Amino acid sequence: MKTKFLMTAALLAGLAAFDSPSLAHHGNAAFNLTTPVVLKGAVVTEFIWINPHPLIKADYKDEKGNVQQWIMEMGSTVSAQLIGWNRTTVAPGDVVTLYVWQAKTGAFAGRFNKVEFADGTTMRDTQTGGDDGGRADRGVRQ
Amino acid sequence: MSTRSIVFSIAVLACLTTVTGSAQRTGPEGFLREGIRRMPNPPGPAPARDLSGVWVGPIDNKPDPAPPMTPAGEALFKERKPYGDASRNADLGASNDPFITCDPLGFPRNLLAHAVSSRGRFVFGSAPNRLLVSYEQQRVWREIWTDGRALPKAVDVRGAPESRYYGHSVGRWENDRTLVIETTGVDERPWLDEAGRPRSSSARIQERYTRLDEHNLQLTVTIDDPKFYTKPWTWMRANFYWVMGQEFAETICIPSEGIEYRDSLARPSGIQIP
Repeated sequence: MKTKFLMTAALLAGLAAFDSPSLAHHGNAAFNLTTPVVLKGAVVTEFIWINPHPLIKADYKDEKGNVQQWIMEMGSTVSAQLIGWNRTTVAPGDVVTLYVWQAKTGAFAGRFNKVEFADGTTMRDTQTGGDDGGRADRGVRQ
Repeated sequence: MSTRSIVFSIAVLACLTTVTGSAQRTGPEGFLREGIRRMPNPPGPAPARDLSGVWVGPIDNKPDPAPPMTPAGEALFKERKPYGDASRNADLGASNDPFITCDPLGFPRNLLAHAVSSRGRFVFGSAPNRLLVSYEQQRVWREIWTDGRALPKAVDVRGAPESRYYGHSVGRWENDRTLVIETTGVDERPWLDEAGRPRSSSARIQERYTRLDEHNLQLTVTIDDPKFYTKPWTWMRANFYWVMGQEFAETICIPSEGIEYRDSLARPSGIQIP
């Protein structure tokens, strides 16, 4: 029974990380995909370039001055590579604006949407990164 | 299933995508599809007898429906429990897809490249008397003998070679633009597709690569497997596109990264993992 439970959980975890169209289907269970949370002035603390998904960690200071420690996942690592990402696209210390579909649990965690850098350039996520329904090809930072 | 296998599951499944959906999309200016850059120059003519280079696909895969199975095929198919969109049941946890535990995808399922949004890259290269095909997903490779040798008539019997996950393959140029690869002797454990259809070690799988021009490579895959299917059919009919820059990535399931993903993101996000 425990094995089955473990297996189910693992499957759910994997399914939640599917790219579109499965991501849209399964991701709804975990993330609020209606309006992204905007973390203006967030400071990147770590960019973890791993499979199955790169993870961005960042500190964001809210209006009361409290520091929120966020973590967000991107699409698959290889898909991200295909639209121009690599392990140094963002780096610790970068002051950026992050858009993230927050987890419904309310945790400071979610699915990355896009990042605006200090120089005005933008990098988007795969599949969920666009403003026009998910296309992420536009605005690729070269 | 062990905890280690669970971790494998997380990593693998998180890599997986479904085949449907992306195939019909068109990309914005400069892109053929998301992530597939359109070559800036119009394609030149196809070079003669040369597929070398990095290709990405499948694009616009239009296979024929699988034919009815034989009783033996049906029996095996009923044991398979796929996941995701391919799932025939609601109990996703019951899936027994061998790739869940990182078992080899095997040939030809690896051609679906489903871990990379239904596209992946492969590279044609060469070595004496053979062509080599390497796939970025799981970083596996096949060798295609071109020295005129015959395929094994059987595998896994005394005096015959062993079956292989990626089979035994021979190739020949049908003309200056079309390479035909015949494969048999596949290990029967991998699934044929995401739905869990079987393929037997005696199946004959033919790939026809036709280089339409400099940038487009058409692939048709037909399967003749009398042990499990009532007639042959076209399993893949798709295009592969020339990769700008010719870069070749890797997609590998890594247990430790699966753990990190599970612990740092999945659990806080409310994804139920014990």
